[in-house]
Amino acid sequence: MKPATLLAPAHPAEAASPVPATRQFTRAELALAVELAARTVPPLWPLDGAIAVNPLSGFETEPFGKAVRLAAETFRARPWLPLALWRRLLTDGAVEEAALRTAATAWLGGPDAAAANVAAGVSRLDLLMARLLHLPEDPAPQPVTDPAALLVADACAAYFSRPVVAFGSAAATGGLFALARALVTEQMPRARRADTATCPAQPLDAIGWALGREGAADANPQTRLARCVARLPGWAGHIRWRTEQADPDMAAEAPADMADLIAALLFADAVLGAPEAAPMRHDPAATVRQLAQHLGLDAPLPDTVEEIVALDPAALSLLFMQAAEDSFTTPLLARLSAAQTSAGRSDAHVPDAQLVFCIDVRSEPMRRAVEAQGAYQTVGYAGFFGLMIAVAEPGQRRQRQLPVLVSPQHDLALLPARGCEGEAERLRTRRHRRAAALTLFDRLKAGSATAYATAETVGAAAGAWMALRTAAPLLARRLLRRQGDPHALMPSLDPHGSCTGLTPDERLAYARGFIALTGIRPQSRLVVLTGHAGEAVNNPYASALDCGACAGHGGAPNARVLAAIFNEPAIRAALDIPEQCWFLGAEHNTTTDEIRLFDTHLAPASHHGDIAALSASLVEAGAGVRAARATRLHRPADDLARGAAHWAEVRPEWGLTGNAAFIVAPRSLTRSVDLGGAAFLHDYDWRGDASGEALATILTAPMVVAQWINCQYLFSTADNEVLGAGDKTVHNPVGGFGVLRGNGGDLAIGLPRQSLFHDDGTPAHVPRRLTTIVEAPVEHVRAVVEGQDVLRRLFGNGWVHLVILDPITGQQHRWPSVPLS
Amino acid sequence: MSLMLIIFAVLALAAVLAGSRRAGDPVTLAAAGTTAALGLLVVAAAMGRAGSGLFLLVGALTLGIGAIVLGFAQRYLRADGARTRFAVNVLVLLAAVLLLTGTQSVLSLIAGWLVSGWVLADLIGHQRHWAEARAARRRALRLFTVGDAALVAGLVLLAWQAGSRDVAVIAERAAATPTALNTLGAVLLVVAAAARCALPPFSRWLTRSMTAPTPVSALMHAGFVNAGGVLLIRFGPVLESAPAAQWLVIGAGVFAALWGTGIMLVRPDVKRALAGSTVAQMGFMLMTCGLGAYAAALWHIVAHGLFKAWLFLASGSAIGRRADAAVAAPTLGATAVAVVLSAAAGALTIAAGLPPTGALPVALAVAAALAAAPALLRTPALLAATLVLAVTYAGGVTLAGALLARPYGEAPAGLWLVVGLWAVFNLAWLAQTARRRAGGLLPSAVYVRLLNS
Repeated sequence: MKPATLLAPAHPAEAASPVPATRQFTRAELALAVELAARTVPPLWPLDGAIAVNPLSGFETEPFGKAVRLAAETFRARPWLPLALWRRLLTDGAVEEAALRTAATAWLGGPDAAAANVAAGVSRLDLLMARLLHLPEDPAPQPVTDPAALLVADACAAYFSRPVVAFGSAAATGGLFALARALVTEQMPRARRADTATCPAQPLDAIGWALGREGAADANPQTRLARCVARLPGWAGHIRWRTEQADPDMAAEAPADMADLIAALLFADAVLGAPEAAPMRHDPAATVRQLAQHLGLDAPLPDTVEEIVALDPAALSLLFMQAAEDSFTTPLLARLSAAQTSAGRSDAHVPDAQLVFCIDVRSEPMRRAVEAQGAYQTVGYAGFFGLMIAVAEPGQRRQRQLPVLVSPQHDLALLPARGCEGEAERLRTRRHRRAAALTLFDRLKAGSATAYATAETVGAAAGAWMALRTAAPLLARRLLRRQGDPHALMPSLDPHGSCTGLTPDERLAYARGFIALTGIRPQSRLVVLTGHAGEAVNNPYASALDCGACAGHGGAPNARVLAAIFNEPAIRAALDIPEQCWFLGAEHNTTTDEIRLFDTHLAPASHHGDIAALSASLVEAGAGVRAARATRLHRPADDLARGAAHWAEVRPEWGLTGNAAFIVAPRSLTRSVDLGGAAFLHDYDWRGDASGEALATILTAPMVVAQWINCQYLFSTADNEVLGAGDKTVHNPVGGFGVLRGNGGDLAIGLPRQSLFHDDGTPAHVPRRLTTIVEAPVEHVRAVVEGQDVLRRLFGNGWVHLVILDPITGQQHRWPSVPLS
Repeated sequence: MSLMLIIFAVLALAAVLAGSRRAGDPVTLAAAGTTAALGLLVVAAAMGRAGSGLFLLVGALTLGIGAIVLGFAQRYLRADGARTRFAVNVLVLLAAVLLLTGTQSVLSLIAGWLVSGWVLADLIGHQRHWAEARAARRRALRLFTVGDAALVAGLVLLAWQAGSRDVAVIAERAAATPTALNTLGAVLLVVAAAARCALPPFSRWLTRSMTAPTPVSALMHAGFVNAGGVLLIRFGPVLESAPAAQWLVIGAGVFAALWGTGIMLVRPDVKRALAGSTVAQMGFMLMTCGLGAYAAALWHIVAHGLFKAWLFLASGSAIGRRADAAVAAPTLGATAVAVVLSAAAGALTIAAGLPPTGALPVALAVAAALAAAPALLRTPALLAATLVLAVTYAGGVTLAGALLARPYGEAPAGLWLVVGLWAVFNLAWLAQTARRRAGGLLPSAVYVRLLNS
């Protein structure tokens, strides 16, 4: 079965070649149906390298409004924020009422149509605003009890955790379907087991068997299979990750594909009965009564209001979302336009240092703060710095450090950095000791004769350690840090063992490409390449705070590799890099807003003063950003470092909460604008990009990743229980790659509640679709967008807004897309 | 007991302040109150006025775990809309457990037992909007009711037989006059303890309690389930006068120890595997009570409570951890050597004069040490740490022995019982190692039963 691709989703209802609705299906037909059904959910990356994906990626070929309603039916979810929460956001000022009225007026067909009276003193606009602001909303869909899905979920948990669990079932050697079947059969009374004994062992055949039994005459099995996949989006996503993205040796530990999952669900349905779900329908009659009551009307309302009354909850919520988007983008575009006209293009002075940051929204406040400290130039570029690498410690599993859409081209070995050999040796021995101790501990704690003595021996120390970690987290972290600094290891450019390293030609190519794509002209004494990482302890979602461009890991390895390349004499000669430029790798800790410079001891003595000055500026800048972020977290600024080290902290930072814009322009456009940590910033100069290739690369790679992030945050906020991970406090880690909620069930997808909502229940992330703002001539952008399928789809279907700021005419152009509701 | 009343006053004050919603963050107030109560207990102990040794040790454990859990929950439950309800529930739970540990009146003991069960069920169902949590709460209440009924019936029976409502008097008189009704009372107490300690067939309330927030689970496994052991220690003489009850608790305990280990070895999710481990540990602890080794059981209660709470609170670190393939699984031969040497150690301790029931934990500890020996000898720092821990273990058991009025009682049978139990655990260990080396596969029927326990 060919692996389905992420960038070419197919909506389940529009199968490429519809499977005929007969009782007997061939294996090929079923295989095709399964492959199409698999695209209902996106892959789900494991939590130690968490990647943001759009939970509705299976519906991206549809216009946004339609996709949201289809997803609601398929997942039995509510992918739009409830009105109650929108009303709270309105009160808090995140949504302006004027913008809401504008959106409502536009939906009604313009100011004249909106002002038309339906009764004395009551206009159509008044009716719609009443529905938006005052009337009670329709109840949310009730969760359906689905015992079949619970059993199959348990089978998935047992099967995929097999490599880390001591004992497994003999049935599991036959595959996931065999294990699930064994689990379901053992629950059945013996007398009934003969009913399902005829089910074939091969999953595709079993699907045919089950569909034949159900015997719906006209049903296209496509829908049935897609609904099966949608009942367990977490496990289905995990299976997609295993078959399409995971390293082959990891996938081989527990081989399974979507056919196993679907066969298991159909088999369980045959035994336990498929869940019945009444569709949620909006009741217009009740709405009419409520409107009449609210507005104090006696006479019945005329028929012209039918369309207002018939608006379903999705439509109302999407109107609010439009208003939220306008409330954000209109002032932003005004400020950008003003900046455009008044921006001085070239800076005659050579900056004291040039810093390259990731496009992540958290970089923007730091960049502003650094620029305010002195003559510093900052540039935004994807955090993996263009390096298609994976890194590995000798003898360990490799770790990707590049966007998940592409495969690594080079493997680099993690070896002691120059000057850190002692620290690296200490790290190595202590890590080995710690691993041995942990394994020993696990084994003793699980032995039938040894478990009791282990508990009795370790107990007192455990008590002391718990008290320390709770009351004095910084001290506890200092003790743990004596285990060694992981950054004592650095990816080596040279070949080592099975790691290929980078040849001189490849190094030159990466350096050249970096200069071309960023448009940067190295001229300062210091050029700092800054990756980023979050910091959290005892937190399953820690890697969701790390750099998505580096496959959910910190960006330090990439930054140091590229800096090392640029410091090589051969490269410097080939690229004409000025003598005085020295490159440094760095990492921005987004939880504590500290920037750590690496390998400063390798810099020439002449630059030590510059490095000291830069470090001081970075500390000042960090303090300012920290203070601002602490206000948003409702915590004192000095608590952020404690929180990063505390084992109970559920919200060490807000991450990418609030993301709403992707700006493709030179820094001169945005330098004077405070974007509040809500924008991805990618440097781009249209004048150096005549062919449009750079813009195409930016829009089809980093912007698509930003769209995934935006959609994940949007839908996880809208329906945190079904499309998000729910409450963190009841998460139950499984297999080392994911979490369950409570006693069992589906693997959690999306983001948890604590990352998206304030403590009082108000959304901290306002659901807004991404607005891409490009500074370039209209025709230039149009040519690029129309040449790319994915961009036509995203912009045309309303998943991402596109605004073009034409620098020549000074005008703003919105890319047309289908209407929302 | 005035110390208990003072502690109750402190906890009650904290609960009132927390519940008023105007004095500040409820969880912080509860944590402060619990720490203050713990401080009072420690001071009273230093002055020699802490009452019974059992109350001191179990009280310190309960308040200590309570303080840590509340301190943890300050951050962990920051987004919980029902923080106040959580804080007040925890304070009431702590007070109820202290009551049943320290009170001399049977009626108060019953009150503490019942209230702690109801409050814990409420904490399991803390997220009231979640149907699964509500179902878990109902299940817990159902299973607690069986145990509660057994407790009330048993204690009423024993109190009526002894003609007194004082715990110590009942224990004395039951030991002096063993009758059939006393035996019945003892058996009912064993049932109550088994239900509270989540032994099979009562384990479902614990293995399905993951709907509780992590700090609640930590508190539950550390401070609540051991009430069964506390009950049997307090009524030790009653148990000893009824060998049938002792056999029952030993049998149930051994079965639970093996079954719980089985659950822990097959469950893929961290929290439910820990629940399986607790079932096993509680089974072992109750078995130890049945053997009359009350000091060992008491130290086990304390150490296991701290151990399990730590594992729960640190469960978030389980992501990304994979078994270190480089460290080889122990061979059957190495395990067999450890078993034989542990038998020798047990024989030596008996020869040195320790009662057989005291020799059993020593033998098992030696087994564990020998299993660990190869890894420990390679790493001096680890060996040193282990020796320190072993000293605390020995010290802990000695402390428990010193604090209890009656550290050791009578087992229902002599040396052969202990040898038999030792054999059961070590044979299970050998079988487990052998099966693990052969691929770690279990037959479907057994596997499914363990997975669903």
